[in-house]
Amino acid sequence: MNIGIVPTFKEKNLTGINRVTIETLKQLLQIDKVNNYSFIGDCNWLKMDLPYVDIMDSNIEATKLSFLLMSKRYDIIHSHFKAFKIRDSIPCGKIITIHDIVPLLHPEWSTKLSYTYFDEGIRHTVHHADVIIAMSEHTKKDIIEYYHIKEDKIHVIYSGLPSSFNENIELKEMKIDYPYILSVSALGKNKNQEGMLKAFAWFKERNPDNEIKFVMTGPNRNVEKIEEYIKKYPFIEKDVIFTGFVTDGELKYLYKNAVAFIYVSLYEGFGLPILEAMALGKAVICSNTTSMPEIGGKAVEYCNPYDIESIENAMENVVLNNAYRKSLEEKAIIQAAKFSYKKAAEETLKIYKTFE
Amino acid sequence: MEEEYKYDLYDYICKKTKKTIRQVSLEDICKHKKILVLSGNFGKVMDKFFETAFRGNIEACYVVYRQQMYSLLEKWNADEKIKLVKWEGNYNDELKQYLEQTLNLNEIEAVLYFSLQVLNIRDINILEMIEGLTRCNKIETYCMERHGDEYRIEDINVMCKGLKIYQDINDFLDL
Repeated sequence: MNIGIVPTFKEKNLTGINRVTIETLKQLLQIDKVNNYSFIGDCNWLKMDLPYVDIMDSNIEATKLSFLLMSKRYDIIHSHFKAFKIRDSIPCGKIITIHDIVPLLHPEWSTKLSYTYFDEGIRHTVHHADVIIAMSEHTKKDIIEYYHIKEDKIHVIYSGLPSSFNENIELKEMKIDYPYILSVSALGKNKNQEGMLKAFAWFKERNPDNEIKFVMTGPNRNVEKIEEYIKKYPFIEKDVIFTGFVTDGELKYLYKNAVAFIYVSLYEGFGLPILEAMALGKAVICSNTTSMPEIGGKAVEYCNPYDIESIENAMENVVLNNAYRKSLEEKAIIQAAKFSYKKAAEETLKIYKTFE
Repeated sequence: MEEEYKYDLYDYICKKTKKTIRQVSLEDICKHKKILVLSGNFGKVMDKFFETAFRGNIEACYVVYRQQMYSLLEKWNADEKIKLVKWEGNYNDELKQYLEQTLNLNEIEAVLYFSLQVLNIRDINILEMIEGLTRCNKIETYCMERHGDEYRIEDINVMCKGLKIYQDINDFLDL
């Protein structure tokens, strides 16, 4: 079969969605020596050795592919979270992977443009697709509820750990010689940095002699927002360290040396950092909402991200109780092993084969 | 055989359109002394352009903007490094007429616009407007993408036609 892969929008520094596309494809190309894969559109920026066919795209409308598909035969078009349109009479399997539908659920976190894109472009695509791949059961539930799609059309395929994380990345030592809770996240309205810092301030208030610090890592953009949050609790200023963007080696070092990892996001389609921390045997504190319980299973300490008391309690349970923390660390590695891109690729291939 | 012929036509339209763009550096854009900038909601990319432009020998930078973009431009305007042209309408033929009335377009060496991606069907209107400006004046066209790549449009007439044909055929087939 000829399988056309439509990645999401161009990026210079690849983030979540494009990384998932690449990792799944890498594994697919390993296990599938029969089908022919190519990118739809010039995807040199993805730096993958795969041929492509040109298209002319639009940044907010659904990508129109009828002209291409009436000129060149494709058995399957698989879009990785990009809206597309193909005339119904063209015989071609249509698949779309959906990571989340945050702009529809929380328009207040998104721009009007992205709301429209999800409400019109993605809505059209999911209704005309033969198969929808959701990143989690939670995303599947949202798709059913908001787009009114029949359950049997949606398959859940979890991501795994990126190959770069599995390979032997050399740990890059950082000058950190104190115990710390680690937070890894970009600054976003759903990431709940303010709630996390407030809970840490409460923890310090209740445990003034505890030496633990709070290390935050992520891109530097909007760092002033974090500084603004910290200013509200001046007594923790000396205990909160913002590293800015770190390399993969440094990130691994930070995970490995943390006392615990915290991720109390309000919404996640998957929540990769939870998986990364578990894979390195860290005790994880994470939200009991959206997809996060699917990733954490019974191996993490949950809290309600909307309730500061609940976040603070979770910190106390994990940081102050050594035996409990140790038990979480042991469970974490077993839980993380359930997720892999090899498995994701095998399940994707199984879907492709239904179009033979 | 027929299928191959159809694909050749498709590929020809895409390739011919793509040939009209050439990746350049920001310095290539900033070597021009008088530039017309059609601002968009791309704060960081615009800052990057102004930072480089004002390190060089730029003499005049005319910036077409909408009110909601003022805060992005304010810091540059404070030093009177740019000349602001407020425009609340669309970037279309009306703007072209307005610019012809308010600016001396003979002096402009280059026009710069911003986009998520250089080959973007959504930009047809802005490109047709620029094409109108460049028809009577010797003006180079540049595009800065949101994720940092810069391009010169070497034949804006062909680019407009290519994008339009591609869009029209798709729309026709979807009818």
